[in-house]
Amino acid sequence: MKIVAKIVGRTALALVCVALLVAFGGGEARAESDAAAERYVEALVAQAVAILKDEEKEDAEKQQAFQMLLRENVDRRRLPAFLLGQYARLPDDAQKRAYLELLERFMARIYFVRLRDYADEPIRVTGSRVRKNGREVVVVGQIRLRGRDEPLSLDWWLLRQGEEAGDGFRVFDVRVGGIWLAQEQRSGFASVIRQNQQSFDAFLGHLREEVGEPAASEGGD
Amino acid sequence: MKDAGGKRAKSGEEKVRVFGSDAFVKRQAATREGGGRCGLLAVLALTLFLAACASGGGHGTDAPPTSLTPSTSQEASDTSSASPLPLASNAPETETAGASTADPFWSGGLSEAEAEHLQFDERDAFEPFNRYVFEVNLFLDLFLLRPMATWYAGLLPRFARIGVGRFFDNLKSPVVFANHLLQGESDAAANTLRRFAINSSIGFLGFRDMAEKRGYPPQKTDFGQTAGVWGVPHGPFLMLPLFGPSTARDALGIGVDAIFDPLSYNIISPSWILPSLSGWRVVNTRARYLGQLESLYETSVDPYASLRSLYFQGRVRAPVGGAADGELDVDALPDIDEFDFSQ
Repeated sequence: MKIVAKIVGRTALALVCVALLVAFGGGEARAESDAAAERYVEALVAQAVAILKDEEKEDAEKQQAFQMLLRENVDRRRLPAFLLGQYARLPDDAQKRAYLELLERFMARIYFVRLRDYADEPIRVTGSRVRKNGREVVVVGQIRLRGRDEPLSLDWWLLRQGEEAGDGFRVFDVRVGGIWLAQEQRSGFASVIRQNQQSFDAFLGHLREEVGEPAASEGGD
Repeated sequence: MKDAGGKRAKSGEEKVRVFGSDAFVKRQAATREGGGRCGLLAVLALTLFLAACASGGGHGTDAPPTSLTPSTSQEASDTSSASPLPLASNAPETETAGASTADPFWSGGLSEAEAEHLQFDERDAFEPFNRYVFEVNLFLDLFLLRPMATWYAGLLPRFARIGVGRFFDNLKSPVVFANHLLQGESDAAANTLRRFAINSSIGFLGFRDMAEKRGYPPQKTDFGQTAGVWGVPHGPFLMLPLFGPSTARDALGIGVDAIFDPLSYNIISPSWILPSLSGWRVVNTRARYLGQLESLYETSVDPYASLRSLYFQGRVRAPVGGAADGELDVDALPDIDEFDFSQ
């Protein structure tokens, strides 16, 4: 009888331990989701698609609208510095201002070019994961491309804005098929800066060329 | 001012131009095919396409990125073999204050993946040569492969091209099977064997993927990944003529995979059949990614550097035997708090 009582007691103890692990340990093992972030991405995708599919607008107008959309939804504090990587402290204040202005146009152009072929492809948000810091959320989704058997993963790395910034989210990076686009661009930026003996003016000149700004306006700002 | 690798100095200006990013791209863009393009995915598509061009060696794949060995479950990761290396090993001699890679502003945000990415970029030991090969590949693509692929895509409807892609994937089953065995993945090897048997028979030589419908998903791998499982490091980034981006390890893998690739052996009579199939495989793969190379060149400040980054993210950083777009560990992402222009 004593043995039975001991077994029952140990079993009960084990069950309690398991319950505690599930209750407290399970939360760490699986990142929480964020429904607000998912809704934000769904709305953002809908807006982008609406711009890209607007048949009444010329490409230049669409790109302009796209730039406005990015201005409102892309992170403008951390992303520009992140894109410069190890050269983030290279520019002075004037160069920073010129860089931020050019970067906005450059990003509008590249995302417009890269996304315009996707306007008709169905994009589906499938979930989200909150980082441990609680400020960053990765919304995961899929895009089903014509001509492919399987959907391609499409993820959005979001930064949660504080109250002073009007709450909500900003997009920091987008991951397509496993590739983070900001990281890809950062490699290009670093390469251009490095090959120009770390001249930030030369890099700005290159960005101006990329966004189609006349060479006459080039300079060190 | 470097001139090698497509960068050209402009007199009196510290400015670079990437060969091909203007006239070449505009010419390309002007002739882009209408409808059905998948521009955004230049990323993996390019990597996969160029890898698939190495199909003689069976190194690449014609399949979408998501089908890259989704469940081979090798735990060994390439990152485990990447020992920390001094940063900025390829940095120019003239260091500007605050721009060193040892800058805490930068190093504070480095995750393991970031550090490895930075090393991969900066330790491109053969960069001048690689850039030269990149330009040659661009030239060949512009004047040879792309026109053929454009014509081919106009000739064959999309569903037929997908079927052709599956047919060639099926032909590569011996390569995949052998590498799964070499990796000790007997379940994956058995899966590949079943897929080959099913698709070669009721799948009409692989034109239809009947195996997946029966619970045998595609699981691709190659000898580059096998070498990774064995602990061989990637080595330097290489831009191979015709084959595209690679590393020393993956380049070796191309050669080894050729041993298991049926298309490597011209044993069928008449003798032109197998070489024709190899050419067909390359053109079919290129047709699949029409428009994506152009998109990459059009939207990158340095297409070569972007391509190197894509290869790193899609292949080097990806778990051995796993897909680049597999499960994402959000807490392994870089710490970006250090990056703030408003400070």
